[in-house]
Amino acid sequence: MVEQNNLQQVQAPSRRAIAKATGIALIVALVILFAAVLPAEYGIDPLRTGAALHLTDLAKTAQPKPEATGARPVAAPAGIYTAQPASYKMDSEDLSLMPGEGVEIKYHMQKGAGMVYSWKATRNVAYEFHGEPDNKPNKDYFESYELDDQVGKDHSFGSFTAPTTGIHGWFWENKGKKQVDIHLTTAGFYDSAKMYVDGKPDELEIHDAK
Amino acid sequence: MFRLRVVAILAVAVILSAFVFPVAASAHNVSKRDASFVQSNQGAAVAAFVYLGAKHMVTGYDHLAFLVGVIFFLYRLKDIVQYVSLFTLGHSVTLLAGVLGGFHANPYVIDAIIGLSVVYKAFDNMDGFRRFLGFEPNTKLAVLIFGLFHGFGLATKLQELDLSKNGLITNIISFNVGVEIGQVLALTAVLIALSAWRTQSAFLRQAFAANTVLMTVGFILVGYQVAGYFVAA
Repeated sequence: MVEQNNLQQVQAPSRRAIAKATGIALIVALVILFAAVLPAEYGIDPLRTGAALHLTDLAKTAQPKPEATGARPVAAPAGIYTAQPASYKMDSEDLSLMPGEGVEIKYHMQKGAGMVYSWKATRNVAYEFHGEPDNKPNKDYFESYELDDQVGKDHSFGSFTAPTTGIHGWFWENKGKKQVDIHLTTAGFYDSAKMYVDGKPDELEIHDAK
Repeated sequence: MFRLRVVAILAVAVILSAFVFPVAASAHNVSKRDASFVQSNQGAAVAAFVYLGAKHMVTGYDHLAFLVGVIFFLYRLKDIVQYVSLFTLGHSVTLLAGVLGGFHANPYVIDAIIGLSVVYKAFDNMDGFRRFLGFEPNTKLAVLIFGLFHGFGLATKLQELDLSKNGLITNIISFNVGVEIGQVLALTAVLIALSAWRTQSAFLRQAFAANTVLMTVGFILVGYQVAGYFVAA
């Protein structure tokens, strides 16, 4: 019987007890938050407890969450070079896309070969930087490197190392209502370049580095 | 009795370690090494994504905190299955729809809501709603709705990783299957601990304190995410 009474008492805590517990939870949470979590996670240290406990050191090495559109932090690799038998090639293309049009430029590269590139557009354009290995498991196989098919971007600059021997390059599509002009320049160890309009390839003339 | 107590202490220790060592656990974030795998992966990789899904669930302390709250006072297996199925339904829908439909949301806002779900459930377990509002919000509906947010949070995280389109559907479904496996594993551990704890006469008295602690964890999660929102802005 005593057990029964006890049980009911604890099962039905008073409003006072609940309010008190909630208040304690909130206060303890705030103390832990300001004394430990914020200094350790973000380096925010209003009580100076982070500095005293060296928690702010964690924040210095902690990485902020990548934003959906922000740059992703890349670990710096040790110096690496890849020797090549011949000089690199250069190419530059000016493209105009009417609304609804798409175009693709691809460079044929050996696995491990490098390329630097820059492209700029007059307004945001949807694109995908991708590649297709010469030996692909199925007809539609491709590897995507950089993709923005929602908002698009008006530029992208970078360096690229081919993960497979095959064709690597960009597909741009004008999803807007106005014409987009794109200027692309590349330099790298590729041996040929092709432009694809509606899937039809066209050989592009590329130049030796002077 | 002695053995039961040892099991209980061990299980509680395992669960608490998820709260005490949040550095080892990773909430919603897929760890950096896993992230680079996800990004470089091409094509379907069923086993790898099942594993990542299970790992996400077992090491995601916000999910675990919420589940502990949900099953805290559920004694019958039938009830547990019902509530967990609703949670599963909720997060599967938004995980699949979010990634396949490309819906974006601010991850801090979603994670803050997930923190609030922990606070809500702890307050509910304290009988707070009936005492203060005179009624208890439909807990099944609440679990379903918070399930939707949990899945949406995960979808947002996965989308940040630029998943390859190649084999995307297979991989997302594999990931979801992994999440369910991880959930069953985590629930089993939580249930063993709770069942052992319930045999103690002090359980009901400690239950109130335990839910206060759970609520504290929820508030910390909310504060952490709200601060993150302003830091990132």
